[in-house]
Amino acid sequence: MSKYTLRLYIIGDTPVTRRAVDNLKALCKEPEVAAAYNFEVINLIENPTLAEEERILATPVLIKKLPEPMRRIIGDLSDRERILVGLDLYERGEEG
Amino acid sequence: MDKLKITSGLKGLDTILHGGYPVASPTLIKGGPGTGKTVYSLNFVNAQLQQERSSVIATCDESPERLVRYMDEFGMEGSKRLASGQLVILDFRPNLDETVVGEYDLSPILLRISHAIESSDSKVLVIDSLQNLLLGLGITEPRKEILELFDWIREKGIATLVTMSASQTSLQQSLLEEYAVDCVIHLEQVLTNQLMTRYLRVVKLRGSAHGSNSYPFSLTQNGVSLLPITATRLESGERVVRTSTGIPRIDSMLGGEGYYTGSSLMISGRSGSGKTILASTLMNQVLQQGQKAVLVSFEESESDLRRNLKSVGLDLAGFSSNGQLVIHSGRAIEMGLEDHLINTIDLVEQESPALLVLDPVSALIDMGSSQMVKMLMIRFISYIKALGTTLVLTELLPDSSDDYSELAISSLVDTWFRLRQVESNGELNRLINVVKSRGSKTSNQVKEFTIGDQGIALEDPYIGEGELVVGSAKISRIKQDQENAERKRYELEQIEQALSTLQAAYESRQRVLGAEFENEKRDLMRKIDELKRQAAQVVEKRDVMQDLRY
Repeated sequence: MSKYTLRLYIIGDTPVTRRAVDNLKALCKEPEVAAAYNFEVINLIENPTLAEEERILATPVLIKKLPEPMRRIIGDLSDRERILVGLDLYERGEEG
Repeated sequence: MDKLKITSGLKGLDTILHGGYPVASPTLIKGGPGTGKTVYSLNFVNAQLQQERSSVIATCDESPERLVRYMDEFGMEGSKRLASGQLVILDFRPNLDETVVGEYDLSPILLRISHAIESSDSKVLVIDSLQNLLLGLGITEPRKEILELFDWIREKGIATLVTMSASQTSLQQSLLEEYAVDCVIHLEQVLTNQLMTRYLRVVKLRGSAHGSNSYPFSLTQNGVSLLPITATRLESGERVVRTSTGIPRIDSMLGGEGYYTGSSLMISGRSGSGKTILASTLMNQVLQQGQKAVLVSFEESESDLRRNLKSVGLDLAGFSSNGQLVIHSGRAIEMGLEDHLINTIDLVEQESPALLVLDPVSALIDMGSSQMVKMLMIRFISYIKALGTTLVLTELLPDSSDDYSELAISSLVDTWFRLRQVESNGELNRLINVVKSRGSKTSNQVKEFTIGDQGIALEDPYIGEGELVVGSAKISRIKQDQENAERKRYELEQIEQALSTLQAAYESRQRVLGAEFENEKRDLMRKIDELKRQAAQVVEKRDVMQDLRY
């Protein structure tokens, strides 16, 4: 079964950015998440057009496009529970 | 143009701002919903695109597609410019499916804008509107990233227009206005007498003079129109050319050759006094000379007007079809005074007529306080004058007005006709006089005129025994005076005849008397002779007697 991809968009290297990347890595190590998702970190400074395509106004931002519905989470991802709810992963996590 | 200014795309606003927006720093346009902020933005962008300057719009309310469609509808070639890459529209509308978890910053805003500006080599930026950009992120106060963005804009020297809702001003917002922005413009809508008027006011323009009043403006099919202020400085040039009124005797009332071309004329009179016909006669004369004219009517529909004028010999159909004449007809109550004047100015700028008629201007005057109306009319009249267009205003005097002007604008016009109808002997007669005409040797005479199927015709009123007589009274007075004269001539003849009769009688009597005198004289002389002879005989007899007594 192919996995979905979570994309974290960041700008530069700041404490907030680093925290977000670390939090995402920790999240994706959890078996329930790891079973369904890969993750990718994109620095928008290298790819400004992606900011345009994704209409990004604030960073860091985690975008889940599939499965529907699309979810976007802004911030350093410091609250695990809320991220799981925000990504519609919470229930799945409980059941899994 | 000032090198530190960039055109706003709106002639009137450029004048108010003494050249335009600041070229290298942000301008903030504040205004409630529907005040036209986006339209100002689009006009600005369009003006830059027309000068082949690439522009970036960051839209936070409308979708990019709608923005382009607005531009196309305003005739600004939005889609063409977008396709050629000269116009870049950034979609900054908030994502509604976002959750915020933990700390974040707004650096993508600066990243996206700077990337778009650098890759399209733009020097022009519009953010419409900042408020929505922030609200979309659940932020109510401008944050430091916004101030950083403004700093970056200054550093790069990008002409920027930022719009913002004017709902309430918080501390942060006033900081933004005071610190980050060099020019602040307020837009507002005011409802008076159920009619909405839009106003613009420049609150701040750092390092430059600017007009400081509230200026009315109107959103039109071409974008934004401001009531121009240029000509309020009385800079209209010297006028030396005259135009005939089309009625030689009115020309001579104005000193011989008509009115000064490009001056303003007012025709005052009560209902039915012939104002529209006189105004149309002036207009017809200009049309006959091959020039253009615009007639704005607030009382009659175009077809009624045409029919009514045709009945007095003014057939305008030909001039309308060849484009020389534009008739615009609308009720005064359709919109506010400002909008009427702005629309009229748009029409004048579009057509550049030699002559403009507003019939009647008094219909507009009821629409606001007299001071405001006067202020607007000063601007309007002087602007039309500055364009070199002759302005003909008609003023409807109420029946209770005693024939005196109730408009405070008579001092603003150069030439002022007064039309009256005078009742005498059960009929109304029309009178015209020139109340004033600047720079002309004006007739002080009141003339009588008639309106027939050939239009207006003037005739001299009859001046009888120290008073003016007009109409059929004039005819009867003339006849009466003629009879008087005849009777006197007859009396004179009679007396002369009597005199000569007397003379003849005297002479004949004299002759008779002379003859009688001679006769009596002769008789008396004869008696004297007789008596002398008898006396001599007595002496003779005595001598004889004495002789005998011896």
